[in-house]
Amino acid sequence: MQRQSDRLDISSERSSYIGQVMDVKNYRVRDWGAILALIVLMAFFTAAGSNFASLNNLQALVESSAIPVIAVIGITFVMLQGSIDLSVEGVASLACIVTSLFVANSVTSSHNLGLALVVALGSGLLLGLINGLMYSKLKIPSLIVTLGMWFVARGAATYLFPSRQPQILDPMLMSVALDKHFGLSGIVYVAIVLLIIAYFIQSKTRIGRLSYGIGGDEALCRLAGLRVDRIKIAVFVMSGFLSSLCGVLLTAQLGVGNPRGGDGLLFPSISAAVIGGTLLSGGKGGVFQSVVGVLILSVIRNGLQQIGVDPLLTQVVEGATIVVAVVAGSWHMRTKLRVAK
Amino acid sequence: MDNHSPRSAFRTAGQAIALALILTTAQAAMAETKTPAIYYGIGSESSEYGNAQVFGAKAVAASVNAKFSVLASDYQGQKFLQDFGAIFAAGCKDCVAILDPASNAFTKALVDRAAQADAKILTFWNSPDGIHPWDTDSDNWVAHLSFDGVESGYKNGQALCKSIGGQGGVVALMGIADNPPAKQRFAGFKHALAECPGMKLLDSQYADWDQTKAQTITRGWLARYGASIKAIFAEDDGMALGAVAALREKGLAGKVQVSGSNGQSDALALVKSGEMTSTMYVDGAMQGAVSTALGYAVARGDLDLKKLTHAQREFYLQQTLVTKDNVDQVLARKPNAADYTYEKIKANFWQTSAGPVPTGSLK
Amino acid sequence: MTVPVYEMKGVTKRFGSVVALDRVDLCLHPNEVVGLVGQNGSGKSSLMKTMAGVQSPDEGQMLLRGESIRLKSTVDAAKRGIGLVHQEQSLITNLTVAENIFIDKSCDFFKHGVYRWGDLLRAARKQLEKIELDIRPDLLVEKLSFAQRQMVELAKALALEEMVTEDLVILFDEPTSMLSGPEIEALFKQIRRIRDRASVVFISHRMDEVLELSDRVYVLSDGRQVAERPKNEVDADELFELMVGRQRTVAVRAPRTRASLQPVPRIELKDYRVGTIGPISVTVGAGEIVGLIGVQGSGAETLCRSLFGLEATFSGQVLFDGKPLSVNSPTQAMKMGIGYVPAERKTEGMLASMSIADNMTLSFGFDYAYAGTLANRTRERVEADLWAARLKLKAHTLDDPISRLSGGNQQKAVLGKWLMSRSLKLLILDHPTRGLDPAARADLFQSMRELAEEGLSILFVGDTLDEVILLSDKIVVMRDGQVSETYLDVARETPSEKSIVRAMV
Repeated sequence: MQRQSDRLDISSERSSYIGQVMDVKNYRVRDWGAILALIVLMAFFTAAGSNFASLNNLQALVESSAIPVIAVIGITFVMLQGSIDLSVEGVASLACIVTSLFVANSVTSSHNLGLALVVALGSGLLLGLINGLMYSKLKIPSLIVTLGMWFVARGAATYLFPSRQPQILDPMLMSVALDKHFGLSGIVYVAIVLLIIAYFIQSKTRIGRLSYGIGGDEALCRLAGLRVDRIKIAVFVMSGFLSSLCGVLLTAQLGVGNPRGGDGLLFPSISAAVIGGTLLSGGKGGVFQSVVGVLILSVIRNGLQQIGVDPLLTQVVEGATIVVAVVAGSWHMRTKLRVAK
Repeated sequence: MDNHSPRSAFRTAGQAIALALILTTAQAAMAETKTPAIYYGIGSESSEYGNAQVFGAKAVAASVNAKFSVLASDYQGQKFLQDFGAIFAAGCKDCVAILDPASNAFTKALVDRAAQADAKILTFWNSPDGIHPWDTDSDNWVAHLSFDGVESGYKNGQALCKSIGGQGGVVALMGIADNPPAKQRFAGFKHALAECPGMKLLDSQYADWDQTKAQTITRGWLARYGASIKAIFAEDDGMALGAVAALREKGLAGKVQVSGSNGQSDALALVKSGEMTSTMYVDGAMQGAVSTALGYAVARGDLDLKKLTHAQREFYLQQTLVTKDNVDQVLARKPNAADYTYEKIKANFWQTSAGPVPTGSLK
Repeated sequence: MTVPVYEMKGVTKRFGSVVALDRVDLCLHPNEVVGLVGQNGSGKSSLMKTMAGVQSPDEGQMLLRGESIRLKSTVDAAKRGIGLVHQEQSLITNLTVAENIFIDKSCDFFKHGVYRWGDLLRAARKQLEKIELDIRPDLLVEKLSFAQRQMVELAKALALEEMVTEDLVILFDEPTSMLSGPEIEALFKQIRRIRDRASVVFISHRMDEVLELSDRVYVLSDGRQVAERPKNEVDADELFELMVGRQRTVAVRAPRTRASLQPVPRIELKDYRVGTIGPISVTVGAGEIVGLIGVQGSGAETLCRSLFGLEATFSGQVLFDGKPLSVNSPTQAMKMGIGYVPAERKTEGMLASMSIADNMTLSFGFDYAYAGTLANRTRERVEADLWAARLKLKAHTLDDPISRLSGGNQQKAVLGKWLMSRSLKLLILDHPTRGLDPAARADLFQSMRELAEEGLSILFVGDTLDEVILLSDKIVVMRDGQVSETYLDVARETPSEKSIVRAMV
C-alpha cells in the first residue's frame, strides 16, 4: 500500500506566488493589459500627427467620458455579480425628462431644482429596487427583468414628454455642465468623486467584496450563510441611482429635456467594462478597470476623428478594435468565459 | 426538455384563441362604423415633430368624427410592417393609413398590404425611386408626401455662407449613411458650397441624428481645427443642438454659425437668441392635417383617384427657412385646431404643396 | 466513560429509493481522532454531510455533548463548534484568504458593512499561525495550490475556536485525495497538533492513512456501520471483508465458449501516462473482456477517456493490433474502431431531445449511406431495428423520443449506436450499469458476452465488485493512478472480493 509520492508537486509551482503584490489594493498583472492598450492607442494617435494630444482635445476626451464613466460604475457592480442591467438607457431618459419638467424650463411653470433632483434620482432608486427585487426574489434572470424595465422606463419618459422638448432655464443646473473649473466641467468632477466612492465600496465594504464573491460562486456564498439577496438588491439600486444621475447630468449637458436622452449609454458601457477587464461572467474586474475601458473607447472614437478617417469606415474600425481588445484581454481566460446570468 | 408537454400546448392554444377573438371583434367593430378609421404612423412619440403631425391629423379626424389611432415605429420599418400588417390583415376596407415607412425598403411592402386589404394609404418621407402612387397599387396608394431635402440643405448652406461673409471653414454633421433625407440635404449643401467658394468643407461625420453624439463630435472638431471652424452645418435640429452645446462649453455659441433642419421649437429659440443661424421649418401640423384630409377624401369618395395628376399624388410640402429675420413670426404661430378641419382643407388640398417631387430625387 | 462529544444514533438518510445511510451509529469522544473508511457508495460522505449540517437525517438522533440537536445548515453547525473541511472546497476563489476564513462568521471586522482590513488581516494571520501556514492573508485563494487551500479550509474551521467556548469538532472529508506525500505529512502534523483542543473525524479511502492517524476506526458498507475497532485491534483483512458488503458475488459466472483465452492482443499500453495517472501497462486481447475497478479518483475513468481521445496530455506507448497508435480526438478513435459509452449517459451519451432511431444512427449512419455521402435512411433504420431487437430494447417504436425510455433501455440505445459501426474493434464502457435495474444489468451483461464471443474487445469500468468478477476475463484494479493488482484469467482463478477491496484501498 504505497502512497502517491511521485504525483506532480503542485505546491512548488505556486510557491513563487507567495509574497506577490497585494491584490486587493493594486492591479493584478493581468489587468495591465487594458491600461497598456490605452497607452498604446494614445501614443499611436499622438504620433499620427493630429491634434490628439493637445490640451483642448484631451479636455474634450475627458468631458465625453464623464457621463459614460458614471454609467459604467453602476454596471460594473452588477456585472461583478455575474448579472446585467439593461435598463440604463430607459432610466436615464426618464430622469432626463423628469428633471427638465421640474426645474425652471420653457414648458412647465415649476422651477424647483431640489424637487427635480429628488424625483429624478428617486425614480432611479425605485426602478433599481424593483429590478433587484424581481431578480433576487422572483428569480427572473436579470437580463429579462432589466430589459423589461428599459422599455417601461422609456415608455414612461415618452408619456411624460410634453410634445416638445423643454428647454432648461435653471442656471444652477446648467452651470454644472457649462462652468469650467481648471478646464473641466462639474460633470467631470462628479464622475471623479463617484469613482472614488465606488472604489471604496468595492474594496472596503461588504457590498463590494461580496459582489466579487457572488460572481465567483454564489452557491458557496449562500452556504456560508451570507445575505446574498440583500447584496444583489443593493447593487441594482446603486445602478438605478447612477443611471438616473446620468439622466440628470445629461439634462444639464443637453440643455433640454430629451425623452430619449439616455439612448446610446448602454452598449458602450458594457463593452467598456468588458474591454477594461470586467468579465460578463462576473467575479473579475472592478471600477478602475471599467473606466480604463471607457477611456479606450473614447480615445478610439476621438482619435479616428482626429486623424480624419473616412466616417463611413469609423464604425467598422471601432467595432474591429473592440473585438481585438476583448479577445486580447481575455485570451487566457477563453475556456472560462461564460454567458452572463 | 419536452416541448410537447400538455401545459405548453394549452398555453399556445389559449393564446391563439385569444388572438382570434381579438381580431374578429376588431373586424366586427370595423364593419360596423361607416366613417373610415384613420391610423397615423409617426417615427416617435417623443418628438416634437411627431406630436405636431398628430395634432393636425387628429383635428381633421375629429372634425369628421372618425376613429383615430396613433402608432409609433421607433424608426424601425419592421415594426410598422408588423403593426400595420396586422391592422390590414384584420380587415381594413376603406380605412385610411398615413405613415412614414422609416426606410425605403419597407414602402412597397406596406403599400402592397394596404392594397390587399383595400385600405387607403399615404406615405411620407421614405419611398424608393422607381415606384409611384400612380403606377403601383394605384387604387390604394393615394399619395406620397415629403419635404425637399435638397432645398433644405441648399438654403441652409446659403444662409451659413452669408453669415460668415463667404469666408471660412465649415464642418458637417450628417444623419445616417444611406438615408434619403440625409443624402438630399447633403446634396443641397454641396450645391451651396459650390456657389460659395470661400467656404471650405473641413470634415463631415455621422452623428446618427443624435444630440449627444453631435456634441462629442463637435468637441473633437474644435480641438482639431480650432479657430478655422466658422460654421457648422447640421442635417437636423437635434444634432444642431448638440453642436451648440459643445460651442457653449468653449464660449463660442453665437460666434460659430450653426444651421439645422426641422424647425423644432428649441431650435427656433436658438435662432432667436443668435446661437443658431438658420433652420428649415416644416409645419408638422399642416402635414398631418393635409395628409389625413386627403386620405379621408379618397376613402369617402369625395376625390376620385383616377382624376388626380401625378403632381397631386407625389409632392413636396412647403417649408420655410427660418433666420433671425422671420423667427419671431414663426414662433408666434400657434397651431389652431380650427384651421385643420376637413372642410377647410377640402377647399384646396394642395394649397401648401411646393410642387411635384422631381424624378430621381428619391434615391 | 466520558460523555461523547458527538454521537449519531440510528441515523438514516434516504434519497428517493436509495438508502444512503441505514441506521448508522457513530460515537466521537473528546480529543479523539476517529477514522471512517468504506468503498464508493458506502455512505461515508453522506454521514459526514449529515454530521456537518449539510443535510438532515430522515431518522435517528444526533447528540452533541449529550444534547439532542437538529442542524439546519453548516452555519448552524459552525455556531455549535462543528467545522467541516470539505472534499470539494468551500473557498471562494476570487476572494482573499482572510475573507474566506471569516466569511461564514459574524465578526467585528465587517460590522456595519465596512471592512476593517487591518484588523481582518491581523486576525487571519493569527489563524494561519495556528496551523503553521506561512502565506500572506491578503492573497487571493485562486493563487494557492490545492494543499494550501486545504490548509486554509482547516484554518477556516479552526477559526471557530474563538467563537465557541467548547472544544471544536472538526470533520475531514477525504482531505488527502488531491495531495502529495509531503503535503499529506504536513496536514497530518496539524491534525495531531489540534487533538488537544478538538475532536476529529477523518474520512479517507486509503486504509493506511486512516490507520496511521486514527485512534479508532469505523467501517461503513452499503450505508451501514459494519465495524468499529480501536487502532491496536484492527485486522486489516477482516475490515476488507466487511467492506465488501452487498457487492459479494451471488450469481455464477457464465463460461466463455470460445477457446479465445489466449487472445491476440488488440490494444497494448506500455508505460502509459495521462495527466498524473501512470505509468500503466495493460493489454486487452481480441474478444477479451477486461474489467477496471477502483475508488473515485483512482484513474480508471480518466484512462478510458484518454483511450478515446478525450484527454489532452498523454504519453507512453500504445499498440493497436500491433501498430502504434496515437489518439488525439474522438474522431480519430472512431476511425480506428474504438467506441466509448460514457458514464454520464444523459449529458454525454445521448441527445435527449431526439428519437431513439436518430440517436442510434447518429454516429455510424453514414456507414450505410449511398456512396458514403447521401444518407440512406431505410438501410440505417433496418440496421437500427435489428440491433434494438438483439439488445432487447423495449420501446413502443424507435421514433419515440429517447427521453421516454428507462435508464436501462437508454443504455441499450447508446450501446446500439456504437454497435451500428461496421468496424468496431474495441468498445470502452465507463460505469455502464449506473442507474440500471438488475434485469437491465443482466441484459447488458449478456449482450456484452455475446459481443465478446464475436470477437469484440471490451474494456469496462465496473461500479461494483461482483460486476467485474462476473463479467471480466481479466480484472485490473487501480489505485491512486496506478495499477495495484491484475488478475489474469478470472475464469480459472476467481479472486475473492476481499482481495480486490484490499487492492482498491
